[in-house]
Amino acid sequence: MWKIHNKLLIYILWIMEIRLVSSFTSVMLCGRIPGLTPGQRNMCREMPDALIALGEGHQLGAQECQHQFRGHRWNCSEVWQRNVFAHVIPTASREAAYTYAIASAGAAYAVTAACARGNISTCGCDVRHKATPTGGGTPDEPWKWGGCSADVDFGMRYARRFMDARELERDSRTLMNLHNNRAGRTLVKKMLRTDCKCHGVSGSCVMKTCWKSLPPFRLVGDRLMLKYQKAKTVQAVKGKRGLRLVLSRKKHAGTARAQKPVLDWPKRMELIYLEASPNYCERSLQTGSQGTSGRTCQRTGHGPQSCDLLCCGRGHNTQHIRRTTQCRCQFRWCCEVKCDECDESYEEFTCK
Amino acid sequence: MDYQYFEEESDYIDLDEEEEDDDVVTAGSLDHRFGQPNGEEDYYFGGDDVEEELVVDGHGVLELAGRLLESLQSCVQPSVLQVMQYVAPMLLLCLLCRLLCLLYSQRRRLTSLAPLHLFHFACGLIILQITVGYRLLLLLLLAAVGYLLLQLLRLGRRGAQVLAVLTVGSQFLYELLIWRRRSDWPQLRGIQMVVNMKLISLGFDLTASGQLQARIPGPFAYLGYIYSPATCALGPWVSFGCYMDCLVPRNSWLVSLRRLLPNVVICVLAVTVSNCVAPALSDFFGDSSHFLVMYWDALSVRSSHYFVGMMAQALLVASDQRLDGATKESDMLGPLISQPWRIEWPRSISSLVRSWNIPMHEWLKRYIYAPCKPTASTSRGRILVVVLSTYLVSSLLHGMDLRIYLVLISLAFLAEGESLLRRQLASLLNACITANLCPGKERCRYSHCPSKRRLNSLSYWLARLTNLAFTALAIFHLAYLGVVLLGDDLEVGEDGDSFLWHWQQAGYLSHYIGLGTFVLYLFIS
Repeated sequence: MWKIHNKLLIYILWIMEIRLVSSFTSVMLCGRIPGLTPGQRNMCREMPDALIALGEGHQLGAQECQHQFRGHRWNCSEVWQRNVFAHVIPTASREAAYTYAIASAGAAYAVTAACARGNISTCGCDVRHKATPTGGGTPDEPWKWGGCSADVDFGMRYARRFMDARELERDSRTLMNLHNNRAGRTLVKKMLRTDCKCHGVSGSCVMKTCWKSLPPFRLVGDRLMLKYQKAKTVQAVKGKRGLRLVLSRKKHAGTARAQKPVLDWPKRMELIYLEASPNYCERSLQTGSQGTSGRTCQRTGHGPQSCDLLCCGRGHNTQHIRRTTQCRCQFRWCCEVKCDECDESYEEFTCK
Repeated sequence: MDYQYFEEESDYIDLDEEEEDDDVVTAGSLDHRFGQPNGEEDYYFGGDDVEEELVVDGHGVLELAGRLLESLQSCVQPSVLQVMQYVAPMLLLCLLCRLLCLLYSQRRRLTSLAPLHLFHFACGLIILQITVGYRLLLLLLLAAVGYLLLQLLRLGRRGAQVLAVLTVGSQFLYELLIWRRRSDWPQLRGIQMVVNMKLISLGFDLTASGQLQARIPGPFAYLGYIYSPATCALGPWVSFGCYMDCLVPRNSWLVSLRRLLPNVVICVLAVTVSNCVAPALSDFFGDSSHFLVMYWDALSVRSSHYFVGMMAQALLVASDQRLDGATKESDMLGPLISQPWRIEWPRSISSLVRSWNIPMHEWLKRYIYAPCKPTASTSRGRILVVVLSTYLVSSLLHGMDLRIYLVLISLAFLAEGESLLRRQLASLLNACITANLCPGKERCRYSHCPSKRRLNSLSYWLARLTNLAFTALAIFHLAYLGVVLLGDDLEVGEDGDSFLWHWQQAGYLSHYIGLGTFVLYLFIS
């Protein structure tokens, strides 16, 4: 029932044209989309056509997360399907860090791409790259820029306002989410490419044309996956202006002297998490773990998708599947298609 | 209801702030627990992550095509807009200069040519101001130095030769002087190269009979010639006599506007291919064929040259400036600077070299090749030395760019070897397979000419196939030599061997083919 309701809303959202969305969404649809906080609903009413881009970004993040974690025990399912514009992970784990970062990166990526396509009415070309009438300029900026480059700053600002508006508390989990959100969208900005081309007499550089372009989102996911593997454990300490997160330190049991602890801050582009991950073997609502029972695994092979690792030592079931498919189809004049029937059988392994 | 979230400064740690509290209170009252990752997690995440991605071929190709279209879309629009911002002021200033010269020439009876020169100089200055900005002062300083060097012509022919040597040498001096700001030089190099060619041609023209046969042009005429709006930013070289002949425009406006449109359209197409299409295709074929990567990267270099040439042709048409050697004027495009159709489908390397930059070819032929070539009983070795000298001077005009030297000297060897071999083969086989195009049916001195024989003749198809093989070889040489010129020349100092990477990947095949051509020629003759 709840899922049907969500799919109906998604269907209504995607099938409308921008004009209808501009008039209808601001009144009706912004109030009905589940998972939005009041601040996000206000932003939805202010700029309804950006909501479509955010929906695309949401799907970008969801698909990329499920692609990167395919074959892992925690495969990024169930997290994105609960709400339309929300992703909730109860445990402040390493996987939660990746999830928030990829969601923020997807939102920033999609809004920036929508600006470049002209799908959002209030953002246009990056005005800093507009050509001035006089070509003199300052010596620090010798080249004249023109045309539409990807307005990445608008995407950054809008994604930040929208994704950070979900954090209503003022606890350590919120600090962690805000940090990982920023790491995700800043990565998109850093991965922008600037291509330039010189034109002039005999290969000189009398004229120069430059443009910026977004990389494929798969590269963003791959880069975040590297950061996920190097994520840092943090803990909350009380500072002058409230809570702050510092890197956790390994305690040396052999040290007799109690030295003054030196606090380390996490770097801006690092992913951080507060809690150790559960083993994700058993289903647990408290930790958001779906368990690996029923998952397809590989009997021959290594890595996280192998049956020994994926099934947590519980063993696997072997199912012999035999099916008949149509093959070697040929068109006969006139007018029928005839196919042969081929039998194929294989084994499928699932975790107990 | 406004949402609440943390302020900017409290989101992240301020690095300047130092924590003075000695008692770090671990927030035990928080609802989140923290600790070290357990051993099982380390084993799980530290495992072997090598996974085989089963990429479906159809999906992969579709994804690549989508990525191709996306990169094209984000590249074409900025490129065309930026190019139009360059082209439009230049064209308007050329048309303005032409209008002013026309009004002045119709109003009075040409009592003095100084206002015409001033119109050219002023419009050229505005174009250079728009293009290079504050570096215009450096260009004017170099022009003053050039005018002082021009006084050497009082010494006669020897003075012209000294002027040529000093002009080419000063190109290196300029680069060394502004080495600290050498990022400025790639923008000025092309402009100064055309100025140097104009100076040298002016020197040799004025001392053609051995002595200074005419007065040295005055400052206004000199500045109008050097910085004429049609030729100051993008070339090409025109001689001083040709500039004087075209001070008063003669063609009608309708002819010029009719010729402007195809030039501008080809400009836009060429810059689109150079910026967007060729790099995208190079990325597309990046894993399959190294030759295709070389070809598309070299096409990016060539289409950049076509873009500059077509834009310069548009400026010539707008100013009604003709080129030297008026036989190569097209009715649709006006004066031709390059002929892309003969470069993309060359008959031989020497024919594509002549079609690359026709005014520069005219300049080299008139002032370097013809004086060095003796008229009586020219030997093969002497011609080879003269050709190499011509290519060397062409390299020196480009200044301090090692890639230009490598490409042009290699081009000299390849072109001359091919020309010698084909001439020898044509004599042996009595067929029209020389490097130059054979004349028509009556004047062809070989018996196996495509124009003499009929289509069903065997020698016709053999001659055609041989020429086709040489065309394919020239296309390969074009891709091989052109790919080195891709990218900024300032990268030479940083990565010493980076621009030779493509040649190493190809195994220096073009150079070996050139060497084999010479060996085969010596073996036959």
